[in-house]
Amino acid sequence: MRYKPGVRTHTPYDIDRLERIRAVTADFSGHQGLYTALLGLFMIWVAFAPLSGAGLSLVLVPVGMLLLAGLFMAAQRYYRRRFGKVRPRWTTKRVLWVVLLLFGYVVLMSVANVLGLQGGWAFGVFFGVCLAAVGCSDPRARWHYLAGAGLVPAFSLLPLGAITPSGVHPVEWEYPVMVPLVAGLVFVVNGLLDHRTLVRTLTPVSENGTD
Amino acid sequence: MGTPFEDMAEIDRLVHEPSRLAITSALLSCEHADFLFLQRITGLSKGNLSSHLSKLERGGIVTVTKSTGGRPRTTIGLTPMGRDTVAQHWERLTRLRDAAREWTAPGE
Repeated sequence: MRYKPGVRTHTPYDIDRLERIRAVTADFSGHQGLYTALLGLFMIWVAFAPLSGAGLSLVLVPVGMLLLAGLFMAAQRYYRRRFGKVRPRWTTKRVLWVVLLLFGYVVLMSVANVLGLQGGWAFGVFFGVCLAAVGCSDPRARWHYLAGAGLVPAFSLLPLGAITPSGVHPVEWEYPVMVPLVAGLVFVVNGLLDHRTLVRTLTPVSENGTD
Repeated sequence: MGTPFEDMAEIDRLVHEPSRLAITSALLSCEHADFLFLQRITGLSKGNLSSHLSKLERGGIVTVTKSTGGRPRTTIGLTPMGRDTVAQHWERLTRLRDAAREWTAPGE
Protein backbone atom coordinates (compact mmCIF):
# COMPACT_ATOMS: atom_id res chain seq x y z
CA MET A 1 0.00 0.00 0.00
CA ARG A 2 2.83 2.38 0.77
CA TYR A 3 3.56 4.98 -1.86
CA LYS A 4 7.24 4.95 -2.87
CA PRO A 5 8.46 8.48 -3.64
CA GLY A 6 11.65 7.16 -5.24
CA VAL A 7 9.86 5.66 -8.24
CA ARG A 8 10.22 8.05 -11.17
CA THR A 9 7.67 6.68 -13.63
CA HIS A 10 4.04 5.69 -13.29
CA THR A 11 3.23 2.12 -14.23
CA PRO A 12 -0.37 0.92 -14.16
CA TYR A 13 0.44 -0.53 -10.73
CA ASP A 14 1.54 2.91 -9.47
CA ILE A 15 -1.66 4.41 -10.82
CA ASP A 16 -3.59 1.75 -8.91
CA ARG A 17 -1.79 2.83 -5.73
CA LEU A 18 -2.52 6.47 -6.44
CA GLU A 19 -6.16 5.53 -6.90
CA ARG A 20 -5.99 3.84 -3.48
CA ILE A 21 -4.71 7.15 -2.04
CA ARG A 22 -7.60 8.98 -3.69
CA ALA A 23 -10.16 6.48 -2.41
CA VAL A 24 -8.93 6.66 1.20
CA THR A 25 -8.72 10.46 1.12
CA ALA A 26 -12.18 10.81 -0.43
CA ASP A 27 -13.72 8.76 2.37
CA PHE A 28 -11.26 9.39 5.17
CA SER A 29 -13.93 9.62 7.87
CA GLY A 30 -15.56 6.44 6.55
CA HIS A 31 -12.28 4.58 6.94
CA GLN A 32 -11.96 5.67 10.57
CA GLY A 33 -13.38 2.33 11.57
CA LEU A 34 -13.01 2.64 15.35
CA TYR A 35 -16.19 4.75 15.38
CA THR A 36 -18.11 2.02 13.55
CA ALA A 37 -16.65 -0.70 15.78
CA LEU A 38 -17.57 1.27 18.94
CA LEU A 39 -21.10 1.79 17.65
CA GLY A 40 -21.29 -1.95 17.03
CA LEU A 41 -20.14 -2.68 20.59
CA PHE A 42 -22.81 -0.30 21.88
CA MET A 43 -25.46 -2.14 19.86
CA ILE A 44 -24.34 -5.44 21.35
CA TRP A 45 -24.48 -3.81 24.80
CA VAL A 46 -28.03 -2.61 24.09
CA ALA A 47 -29.00 -6.09 22.87
CA PHE A 48 -28.20 -7.57 26.26
CA ALA A 49 -29.19 -4.65 28.50
CA PRO A 50 -32.79 -5.03 29.73
CA LEU A 51 -34.97 -2.06 28.79
CA SER A 52 -37.38 -2.67 31.66
CA GLY A 53 -36.91 -3.73 35.27
CA ALA A 54 -35.57 -1.98 38.31
CA GLY A 55 -32.32 -0.96 39.96
CA LEU A 56 -29.00 -1.38 38.25
CA SER A 57 -30.41 -2.91 35.06
CA LEU A 58 -32.25 0.34 34.19
CA VAL A 59 -29.08 2.42 34.08
CA LEU A 60 -27.16 0.08 31.77
CA VAL A 61 -28.26 1.80 28.54
CA PRO A 62 -27.51 5.39 29.77
CA VAL A 63 -24.17 4.18 31.13
CA GLY A 64 -23.45 2.60 27.74
CA MET A 65 -24.26 5.89 26.00
CA LEU A 66 -21.92 7.81 28.27
CA LEU A 67 -19.18 5.26 27.69
CA LEU A 68 -19.77 5.48 23.94
CA ALA A 69 -19.51 9.30 24.00
CA GLY A 70 -16.25 9.10 25.98
CA LEU A 71 -14.76 6.48 23.67
CA PHE A 72 -15.83 8.47 20.59
CA MET A 73 -13.92 11.48 21.91
CA ALA A 74 -10.87 9.30 22.59
CA ALA A 75 -11.08 7.86 19.05
CA GLN A 76 -11.38 11.36 17.59
CA ARG A 77 -8.28 12.48 19.49
CA TYR A 78 -6.38 9.37 18.36
CA TYR A 79 -7.27 9.82 14.69
CA ARG A 80 -6.42 13.53 14.66
CA ARG A 81 -3.07 13.02 16.33
CA ARG A 82 -2.07 9.97 14.32
CA PHE A 83 -3.49 10.63 10.86
CA GLY A 84 -4.25 14.34 10.69
CA LYS A 85 -7.37 16.02 9.37
CA VAL A 86 -9.18 16.06 6.05
CA ARG A 87 -12.19 18.09 5.00
CA PRO A 88 -14.18 15.89 2.60
CA ARG A 89 -15.79 17.00 -0.64
CA TRP A 90 -19.55 16.59 -0.48
CA THR A 91 -20.08 15.61 -4.09
CA THR A 92 -23.57 15.51 -5.60
CA LYS A 93 -23.23 11.74 -5.97
CA ARG A 94 -22.61 11.27 -2.26
CA VAL A 95 -25.53 13.50 -1.24
CA LEU A 96 -27.81 11.65 -3.68
CA TRP A 97 -26.82 8.31 -2.14
CA VAL A 98 -27.78 9.50 1.35
CA VAL A 99 -31.12 10.92 0.12
CA LEU A 100 -31.81 7.76 -1.89
CA LEU A 101 -31.14 5.47 1.09
CA LEU A 102 -33.37 7.51 3.42
CA PHE A 103 -36.12 7.58 0.80
CA GLY A 104 -35.69 3.84 0.21
CA TYR A 105 -36.05 3.16 3.94
CA VAL A 106 -39.31 5.13 4.16
CA VAL A 107 -40.72 3.43 1.05
CA LEU A 108 -39.73 -0.07 2.18
CA MET A 109 -41.21 0.33 5.67
CA SER A 110 -44.40 1.99 4.32
CA VAL A 111 -44.99 -0.78 1.76
CA ALA A 112 -44.29 -3.47 4.37
CA ASN A 113 -46.75 -1.83 6.79
CA VAL A 114 -49.47 -1.36 4.16
CA LEU A 115 -49.18 -4.98 3.02
CA GLY A 116 -48.97 -6.23 6.59
CA LEU A 117 -45.58 -7.80 5.92
CA GLN A 118 -43.66 -5.88 8.56
CA GLY A 119 -40.89 -7.81 10.27
CA GLY A 120 -37.21 -8.21 10.87
CA TRP A 121 -36.66 -9.13 7.19
CA ALA A 122 -37.37 -5.53 6.11
CA PHE A 123 -34.64 -4.24 8.40
CA GLY A 124 -32.27 -6.94 7.11
CA VAL A 125 -32.91 -6.05 3.46
CA PHE A 126 -32.45 -2.32 4.11
CA PHE A 127 -29.28 -2.92 6.11
CA GLY A 128 -27.98 -5.10 3.26
CA VAL A 129 -28.61 -2.31 0.72
CA CYS A 130 -26.76 0.18 2.94
CA LEU A 131 -23.81 -2.19 3.25
CA ALA A 132 -23.79 -2.72 -0.53
CA ALA A 133 -23.78 1.05 -1.11
CA VAL A 134 -20.73 1.48 1.14
CA GLY A 135 -18.99 -1.57 -0.39
CA CYS A 136 -19.55 -0.36 -3.96
CA SER A 137 -17.80 2.94 -3.18
CA ASP A 138 -14.46 1.07 -3.12
CA PRO A 139 -15.02 -2.65 -3.79
CA ARG A 140 -11.38 -3.70 -3.51
CA ALA A 141 -10.72 -2.16 -0.10
CA ARG A 142 -14.24 -2.54 1.29
CA TRP A 143 -15.11 -6.02 0.10
CA HIS A 144 -16.19 -6.88 3.66
CA TYR A 145 -19.20 -4.58 3.27
CA LEU A 146 -20.21 -6.49 0.15
CA ALA A 147 -19.84 -9.77 2.05
CA GLY A 148 -22.09 -8.34 4.77
CA ALA A 149 -24.52 -7.11 2.09
CA GLY A 150 -24.94 -10.72 1.01
CA LEU A 151 -24.98 -12.34 4.44
CA VAL A 152 -27.34 -10.02 6.33
CA PRO A 153 -30.30 -10.18 3.86
CA ALA A 154 -29.71 -13.94 3.50
CA PHE A 155 -29.89 -14.32 7.29
CA SER A 156 -33.06 -12.21 7.34
CA LEU A 157 -34.84 -13.87 4.42
CA LEU A 158 -33.92 -17.56 4.74
CA PRO A 159 -36.59 -19.61 6.58
CA LEU A 160 -34.50 -19.98 9.73
CA GLY A 161 -37.64 -20.18 11.89
CA ALA A 162 -37.66 -23.88 11.08
CA ILE A 163 -34.59 -24.43 13.25
CA THR A 164 -35.63 -22.38 16.32
CA PRO A 165 -37.54 -24.04 19.21
CA SER A 166 -40.47 -21.61 18.89
CA GLY A 167 -40.62 -21.81 15.09
CA VAL A 168 -40.26 -18.02 14.87
CA HIS A 169 -37.57 -16.50 12.64
CA PRO A 170 -34.54 -15.28 14.69
CA VAL A 171 -34.81 -11.67 13.48
CA GLU A 172 -38.53 -11.32 14.21
CA TRP A 173 -39.54 -9.03 17.04
CA GLU A 174 -40.08 -12.02 19.34
CA TYR A 175 -36.31 -12.07 19.71
CA PRO A 176 -35.43 -8.41 20.44
CA VAL A 177 -31.79 -9.34 21.08
CA MET A 178 -31.09 -10.57 17.56
CA VAL A 179 -31.41 -7.41 15.41
CA PRO A 180 -29.02 -5.22 17.47
CA LEU A 181 -26.76 -8.24 18.01
CA VAL A 182 -26.42 -9.06 14.29
CA ALA A 183 -26.11 -5.39 13.30
CA GLY A 184 -23.60 -4.83 16.13
CA LEU A 185 -21.42 -7.75 15.05
CA VAL A 186 -21.45 -6.53 11.42
CA PHE A 187 -20.47 -3.03 12.59
CA VAL A 188 -17.62 -4.32 14.75
CA VAL A 189 -16.14 -6.52 11.99
CA ASN A 190 -16.48 -3.86 9.27
CA GLY A 191 -15.14 -1.13 11.54
CA LEU A 192 -12.04 -3.08 12.48
CA LEU A 193 -11.35 -3.98 8.84
CA ASP A 194 -11.77 -0.31 7.81
CA HIS A 195 -9.35 0.71 10.54
CA ARG A 196 -6.85 -1.88 9.31
CA THR A 197 -7.08 -0.45 5.77
CA LEU A 198 -6.42 3.04 7.10
CA VAL A 199 -3.43 1.96 9.18
CA ARG A 200 -1.95 0.07 6.21
CA THR A 201 -2.49 2.93 3.77
CA LEU A 202 -1.20 5.77 5.93
CA THR A 203 2.44 5.20 6.77
CA PRO A 204 4.08 6.19 10.07
CA VAL A 205 6.03 9.45 10.10
CA SER A 206 9.57 9.54 11.37
CA GLU A 207 9.44 13.03 12.82
CA ASN A 208 7.02 14.71 15.16
CA GLY A 209 3.72 14.69 13.30
CA THR A 210 2.72 18.26 14.10
CA ASP A 211 3.71 21.15 11.91
CA MET B 1 -8.60 13.52 -27.17
CA GLY B 2 -5.09 13.15 -28.68
CA THR B 3 -3.04 10.05 -29.39
CA PRO B 4 -1.18 8.49 -26.43
CA PHE B 5 2.06 10.08 -27.68
CA GLU B 6 0.48 13.53 -27.79
CA ASP B 7 -0.82 12.92 -24.29
CA MET B 8 2.70 12.10 -23.06
CA ALA B 9 4.12 15.26 -24.65
CA GLU B 10 1.49 17.39 -22.92
CA ILE B 11 2.10 16.01 -19.44
CA ASP B 12 2.44 18.71 -16.80
CA ARG B 13 5.84 18.06 -15.24
CA LEU B 14 5.13 20.09 -12.12
CA VAL B 15 2.26 17.76 -11.24
CA HIS B 16 3.62 14.56 -12.80
CA GLU B 17 6.63 14.18 -10.49
CA PRO B 18 5.70 11.07 -8.42
CA SER B 19 5.70 12.66 -4.97
CA ARG B 20 3.80 15.72 -6.15
CA LEU B 21 1.32 13.53 -8.02
CA ALA B 22 0.66 11.63 -4.79
CA ILE B 23 0.10 14.93 -2.93
CA THR B 24 -2.18 16.43 -5.58
CA SER B 25 -4.09 13.16 -6.05
CA ALA B 26 -4.94 13.14 -2.36
CA LEU B 27 -5.94 16.82 -2.46
CA LEU B 28 -8.11 16.24 -5.55
CA SER B 29 -10.30 13.93 -3.46
CA CYS B 30 -10.97 16.40 -0.64
CA GLU B 31 -11.54 20.10 0.03
CA HIS B 32 -8.31 20.37 1.99
CA ALA B 33 -6.06 18.30 4.24
CA ASP B 34 -3.53 19.09 6.92
CA PHE B 35 0.22 18.61 6.73
CA LEU B 36 0.24 15.49 8.91
CA PHE B 37 -2.31 13.70 6.72
CA LEU B 38 -0.32 14.42 3.54
CA GLN B 39 2.82 13.23 5.27
CA ARG B 40 1.12 10.00 6.28
CA ILE B 41 -0.51 9.27 2.95
CA THR B 42 2.57 10.02 0.84
CA GLY B 43 5.21 8.61 3.19
CA LEU B 44 7.37 11.71 2.60
CA SER B 45 9.57 13.26 5.27
CA LYS B 46 8.62 16.66 6.68
CA GLY B 47 11.37 18.44 4.73
CA ASN B 48 10.57 16.71 1.44
CA LEU B 49 6.87 17.42 1.76
CA SER B 50 7.53 21.09 2.57
CA SER B 51 9.80 21.38 -0.46
CA HIS B 52 7.23 19.83 -2.82
CA LEU B 53 4.45 21.99 -1.38
CA SER B 54 6.53 25.11 -1.95
CA LYS B 55 6.98 24.18 -5.60
CA LEU B 56 3.29 23.47 -6.02
CA GLU B 57 2.39 26.72 -4.27
CA ARG B 58 4.74 28.70 -6.53
CA GLY B 59 3.13 27.00 -9.55
CA GLY B 60 -0.32 28.10 -8.38
CA ILE B 61 -1.50 24.50 -7.87
CA VAL B 62 -2.04 24.58 -4.09
CA THR B 63 -2.70 27.09 -1.34
CA VAL B 64 -1.01 26.64 2.03
CA THR B 65 -2.74 28.18 5.06
CA LYS B 66 -1.13 28.31 8.49
CA SER B 67 -3.47 28.77 11.44
CA THR B 68 -2.05 30.45 14.49
CA GLY B 69 -4.94 30.16 16.97
CA GLY B 70 -4.40 27.34 19.49
CA ARG B 71 -2.33 24.46 18.16
CA PRO B 72 -0.49 25.54 14.98
CA ARG B 73 -1.83 23.68 11.96
CA THR B 74 -0.95 23.85 8.28
CA THR B 75 -3.82 23.23 5.88
CA ILE B 76 -3.29 22.56 2.19
CA GLY B 77 -5.86 22.68 -0.60
CA LEU B 78 -5.89 22.82 -4.40
CA THR B 79 -6.56 26.17 -6.06
CA PRO B 80 -9.39 26.17 -8.68
CA MET B 81 -6.72 26.18 -11.39
CA GLY B 82 -4.83 23.40 -9.60
CA ARG B 83 -7.98 21.30 -9.37
CA ASP B 84 -8.53 21.60 -13.14
CA THR B 85 -4.89 20.83 -13.87
CA VAL B 86 -4.79 17.73 -11.65
CA ALA B 87 -8.16 16.47 -12.90
CA GLN B 88 -6.98 16.81 -16.52
CA HIS B 89 -3.72 15.11 -15.60
CA TRP B 90 -5.61 12.16 -14.15
CA GLU B 91 -7.74 11.86 -17.28
CA ARG B 92 -4.54 11.77 -19.31
CA LEU B 93 -2.96 9.14 -17.06
CA THR B 94 -6.06 6.98 -17.26
CA ARG B 95 -6.03 7.22 -21.07
CA LEU B 96 -2.33 6.29 -21.12
CA ARG B 97 -2.93 3.33 -18.83
CA ASP B 98 -5.74 2.07 -21.04
CA ALA B 99 -3.58 2.56 -24.13
CA ALA B 100 -0.69 0.70 -22.46
CA ARG B 101 -2.99 -2.25 -21.77
CA GLU B 102 -4.04 -2.31 -25.44
CA TRP B 103 -0.43 -2.19 -26.66
CA THR B 104 0.63 -5.24 -24.65
CA ALA B 105 -2.42 -7.32 -25.57
CA PRO B 106 -1.45 -8.26 -29.18
CA GLY B 107 1.93 -9.69 -28.10
CA GLU B 108 0.42 -11.95 -25.46
